[in-house]
Amino acid sequence: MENRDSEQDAILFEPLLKTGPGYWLLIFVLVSTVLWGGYAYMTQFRLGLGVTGLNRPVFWGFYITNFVFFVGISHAGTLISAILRLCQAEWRRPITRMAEAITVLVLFFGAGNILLDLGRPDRVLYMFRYAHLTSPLMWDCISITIYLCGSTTYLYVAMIPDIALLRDRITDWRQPIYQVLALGWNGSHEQERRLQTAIAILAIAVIPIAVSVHTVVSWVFAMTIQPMWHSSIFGPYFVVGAIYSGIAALMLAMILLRKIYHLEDYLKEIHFEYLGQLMLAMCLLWFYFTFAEYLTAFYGHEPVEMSIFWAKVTGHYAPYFWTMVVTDLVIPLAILCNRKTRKIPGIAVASVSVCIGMWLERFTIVVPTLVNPRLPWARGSYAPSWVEISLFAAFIAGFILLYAIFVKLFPIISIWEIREGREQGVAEVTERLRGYLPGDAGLDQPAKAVPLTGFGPWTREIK
Amino acid sequence: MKHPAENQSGLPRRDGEQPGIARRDFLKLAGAGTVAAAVASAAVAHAVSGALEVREDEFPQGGPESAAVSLCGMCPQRCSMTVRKIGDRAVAVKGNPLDPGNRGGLCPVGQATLQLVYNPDRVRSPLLREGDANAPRWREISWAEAIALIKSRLEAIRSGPGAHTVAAIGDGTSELAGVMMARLLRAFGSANFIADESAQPSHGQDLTQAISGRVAYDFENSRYILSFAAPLLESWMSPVRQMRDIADFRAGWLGERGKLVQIGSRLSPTAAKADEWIRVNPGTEGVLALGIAGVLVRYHLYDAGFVKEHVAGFENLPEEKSARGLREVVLQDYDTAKVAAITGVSGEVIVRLAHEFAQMRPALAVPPGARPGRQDDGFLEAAVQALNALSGVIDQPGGVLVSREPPLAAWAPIKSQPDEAKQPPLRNASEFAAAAGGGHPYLPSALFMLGTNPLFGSSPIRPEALDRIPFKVSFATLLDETSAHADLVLPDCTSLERWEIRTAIPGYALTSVAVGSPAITPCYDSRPAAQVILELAKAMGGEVAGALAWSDPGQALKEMLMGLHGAAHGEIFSERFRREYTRPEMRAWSWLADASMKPDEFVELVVKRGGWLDPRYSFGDYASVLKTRSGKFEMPELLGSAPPAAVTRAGYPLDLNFFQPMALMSTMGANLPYLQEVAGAPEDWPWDSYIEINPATAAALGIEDGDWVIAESPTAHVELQAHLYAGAMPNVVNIPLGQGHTALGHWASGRGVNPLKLLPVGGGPATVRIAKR
Amino acid sequence: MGQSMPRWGMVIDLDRCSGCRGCVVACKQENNIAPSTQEQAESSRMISWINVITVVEGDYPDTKVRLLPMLCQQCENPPCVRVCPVGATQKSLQGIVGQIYPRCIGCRYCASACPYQVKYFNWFKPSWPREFEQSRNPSVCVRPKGVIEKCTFCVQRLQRARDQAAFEGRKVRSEGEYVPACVESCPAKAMYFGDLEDRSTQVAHLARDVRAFRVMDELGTGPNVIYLKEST
Repeated sequence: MENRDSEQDAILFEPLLKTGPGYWLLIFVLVSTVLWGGYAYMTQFRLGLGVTGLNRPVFWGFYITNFVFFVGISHAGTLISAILRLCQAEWRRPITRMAEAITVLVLFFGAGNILLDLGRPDRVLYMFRYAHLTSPLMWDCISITIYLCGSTTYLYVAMIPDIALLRDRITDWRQPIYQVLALGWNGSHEQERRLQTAIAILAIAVIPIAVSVHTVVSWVFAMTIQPMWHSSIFGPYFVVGAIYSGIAALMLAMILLRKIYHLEDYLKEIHFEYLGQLMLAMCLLWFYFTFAEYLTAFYGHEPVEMSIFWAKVTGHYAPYFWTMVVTDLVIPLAILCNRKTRKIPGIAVASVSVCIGMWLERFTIVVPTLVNPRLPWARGSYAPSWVEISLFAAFIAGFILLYAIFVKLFPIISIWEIREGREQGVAEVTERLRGYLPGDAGLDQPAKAVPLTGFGPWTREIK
Repeated sequence: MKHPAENQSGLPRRDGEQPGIARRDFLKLAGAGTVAAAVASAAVAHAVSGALEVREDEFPQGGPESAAVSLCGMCPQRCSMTVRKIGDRAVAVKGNPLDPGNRGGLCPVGQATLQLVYNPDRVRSPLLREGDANAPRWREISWAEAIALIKSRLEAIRSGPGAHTVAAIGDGTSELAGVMMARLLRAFGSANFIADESAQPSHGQDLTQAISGRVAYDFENSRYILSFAAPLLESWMSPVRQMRDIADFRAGWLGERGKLVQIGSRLSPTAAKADEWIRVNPGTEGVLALGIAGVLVRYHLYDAGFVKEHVAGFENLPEEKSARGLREVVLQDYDTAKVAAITGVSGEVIVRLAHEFAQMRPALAVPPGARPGRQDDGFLEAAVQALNALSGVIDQPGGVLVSREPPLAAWAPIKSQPDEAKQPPLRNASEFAAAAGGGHPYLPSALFMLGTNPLFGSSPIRPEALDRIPFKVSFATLLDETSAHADLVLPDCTSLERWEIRTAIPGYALTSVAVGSPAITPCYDSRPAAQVILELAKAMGGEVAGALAWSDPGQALKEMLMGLHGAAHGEIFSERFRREYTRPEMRAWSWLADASMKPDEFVELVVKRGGWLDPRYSFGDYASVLKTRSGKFEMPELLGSAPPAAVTRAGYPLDLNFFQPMALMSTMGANLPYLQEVAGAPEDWPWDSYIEINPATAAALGIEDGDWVIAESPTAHVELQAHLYAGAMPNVVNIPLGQGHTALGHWASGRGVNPLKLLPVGGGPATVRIAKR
Repeated sequence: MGQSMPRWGMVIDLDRCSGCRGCVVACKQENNIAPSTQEQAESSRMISWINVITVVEGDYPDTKVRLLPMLCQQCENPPCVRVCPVGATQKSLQGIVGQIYPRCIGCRYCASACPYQVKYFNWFKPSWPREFEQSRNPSVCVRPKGVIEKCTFCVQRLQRARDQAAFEGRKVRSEGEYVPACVESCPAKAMYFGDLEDRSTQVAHLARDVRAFRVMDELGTGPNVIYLKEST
């Protein structure tokens, strides 16, 4: 049975065992970009934030936009893993690992952008020493720290059985890592029970934490009295936008990994179909919030708000705003509404479009308000410098790099969950269905007892 | 001891349980790792933080804190200021609250003084020029050498072309050096001390009362100020005093809010603050003045009593048929319709202004002083004075006064004076320029320049003329365009490093003397010009040394101050004046001087407090203020001639108006970064030149705000950024003065454009055409 | 009975102000603000704790030029204080919103939150020509790069006045003894400064003048800088 299992899921182990030249080329490109970003940052560290395009009144630009953007993407994992797990949706199984990995890894880069943005990064620990709790940035700090810890734990805990698998299977330099991280997993009932409890608790806990994360990120803007920032809709608006961009990023990851590692058997059309529908729902929800936000501003017609409104709609920021509308609404809607285009190629296009669009959405929230301050002095302007662009590229490269390393260290599809699904899922779902339907549901036999045999290869008879 | 069959927790190992790290150990490891990481990162952060803090390799020297009183040297008002010192370093300047001129205030130019004192581009030692004036190379020499050189050249001149050919030009901001230099020249045998004309605006009193250099305008007591393009809130005569007095005037400290009407061709800061801006075609302000005079005359709104008693030239002289009196001139030539056509001001406005001028007594008309490119300014000055005479405010409260000279002790007379009949002196810059250029009446053989930069401004002195003079010495703090032509440049001290005196506040009738003492020792190897003059005199020996026998300028200055001790009225700068100044009747008080102090004590106290004042003014003392041959106010004859016609040049349709932003009003301001930061008035267009264009005019030319344009006149062309300004008239473009230096220092040099190069060669106003680059 | 703590405030008479910017230069000299360059001015990075905003309204010929000296309003309810994550900007008991330079982490949240745009950031290390360092004010520190700074109502002068008053065994006088550099230097005498809680001061009297207004009062920031509008 062990051999059959391993053969069946052998493809999931392949990335860990074989590495082609394409991978090394990718690593080379990513590392070069990251190193270039390192040079850009050293320039900024040495000379000061003057090397960016920031000025007065545009005190925030790329870094804060990227911070919001990356933190937004991190909502992918939560949605998929936690919510789908709680809903007991079986189709989540091949996706959870990828999603959770995105969450954990991209959160570093999100928080990292704050570090980039600080005038005195050497004093970042003052945020703990002198924490001033009325500040939304402080709330951000607390919330993101908790989220990071929570998501990391969640990812890790859900990986333990797979790590144990690898511990038994892989004997090269990675062996000690797996040895340590497996925490002595042997697949026993007690361990399995504890694992399921832990996962359940974490899944429930991580959802409000995730919601709070992007809500407090939005409150950094909404808690000021600046026009077009001071809006009560920002909390839910940003959460919805985050989930939207998270799904898009996740889908992109899925499509790429499926292609590269031949995971067609695991990431089937149906997964993209369901996620595509979910993305469509988020698209419409996002549009609803955006429309409400702009209509309210326009209808109120307050002069300070209108100057920003017009700057976005017809003025200097119109290209960014309308591109955002097209890439966030028009393209995804067109692709995802139609079943014929809601296939993998179409979804790829929609995902890329949404990623670009959501970045533009963050940008058009942050910058136009700063460019048009309340007092009637000369309007500001902002153009990012090579440092900001390099660091943006380096962070994206860094994220992909870490993700690529992750793929080489841990299975990108949760093997134990697949096996659990294969072995128990069908029966569980059948049982559940039986519970929903009236009467005996067309069955003339009593329910078959479901053998609890534990986890695949670690099944041992308890004597 | 654990049995190998037991796991970490001591329980029997289950089959298949892997040996390895159990959860507890993992947590311990994780915990230790986290702590280690935190400690390491904190250590790194601390080290990095240390590297990021400001490090000074050497702090400036500390020292005891003290204060000194000096004079500002940046403009002719020469505000008294207190200097805060740490040891020998000046770290702050603030207006001296006891000085009646500024009363504690200080304009941005004065506030930036420390950037001149510690300017990196200061001349540090005497420099001898080797090489051509256009590509000078400077060799540092010692003071002894420099003085010896000057001495030898002067002696050669005395035996050669003659002592009378030596000349000197001063810019008026160093009064002490100016009088010393004048005295040196006289003792040497020359009467050619020329005051830079830009330092003395307003010649109207010269023309009408035969008094020059002492005109004063009593804004405080006036109710109506009709300003003919006078930049009252920007520069003019005494900017700090003007700003305060105009603010008081409009606040109505006399009980009634005064009305300020600004007549001009640009919405300047003064026009913007004024109650009304009357837009006139450029150069036609004089015509408007006479138009208003015409209305006054026609409706008998003028002060007939004053005119009858004290004015000559109002009525026609019966014996001279050809000389028309002012009455006939304005009635015949300046009727409202004609004036409206020339000036662009409507007839109703002219009549209204005249009525306001007549009814809101005392009403004061104010001229702008010399303006580059405007040839009619003599005409304008005369017309404005005529208006004041018609208003009856000559020597009356709220009118045109004559500032009295303070009773300073005169220095001992010089034994031999130059014979001015035989060798005519060069009295102003034009005569000097003619002499240098054409050799008439003689070629100046040597020229001393005291802090003046005529080559940068609109002075008639041109580089070619200057280069013909064999020996030129410049006393300069910064190496400017004119100094580049000098043969010898001597590093001058700023006003904080030298003795200085101010015998009048330009344009203010309150008699005062302000004294500045050296607050800090001179920087580098600079020496005050006055001191150098004394050393030179001593080296020259003979009569010259006898006339300038003081050991240092302070001694000479204190000798002057002794005269104040003997005065019957007046008081050393005091809190009493500062507190009680708000009472307008204080001028009539008797300010008896305190005679109980010994002369030396008195002088020391004057120096310590910063000066002396006598606020009394006896109004209506016509015998003293009307010094013409007839003993009356003489209406200038030139008003009877046709006014200068407007100049139009085909192909150059726009009139070019120059304006002087306050920040750059000092000759050295352009090299002070604090001043460059606030230049550009009234909006913020700092650090560069620009051209203001009316938005409609710009739209017609296809020019947008910020576009680079070429402004071209028949003489030259310049490239500038366009600034659409709704305060610019449609047919007028405005360019600020003060930028476009080619020397002076690294902040000033190569920055912006000097628009004076657009002036036509023969003189007269400039007209330009504009095109997008 | 009035409060025992003074509440320092300023009144600026816009009718008297002629926009000469003497206050701007005086502040820079007093507070060790490094001279900037044309590049900094053009990229909107010049630091000027007090600034004169000029607005040209209307079309030719009915143009009006409005001048508004703008400095930190030392609000009673400062938006910047709330949002600082490390509490580097704090409202003192005497009403001055202070800036703790060694604590500031340079996140610029306060600068983005301030509706008056009067917080300034050191984008680079401030640099002076070596010679200008001689004339720096020893009573005020020099800020490093990466921190926010703003008008402090020349708090160093308040310190000095308090030291002097303590030495003489009295309180700081409500008006006249402690005066920021801008108020002291104004040539047109358009600025007044003193304890707004002491009704006998000229500044408190003018703060209740019929011409008095506060900028963006409706935001509820409670500025302690009061302007007197022009009386044309």
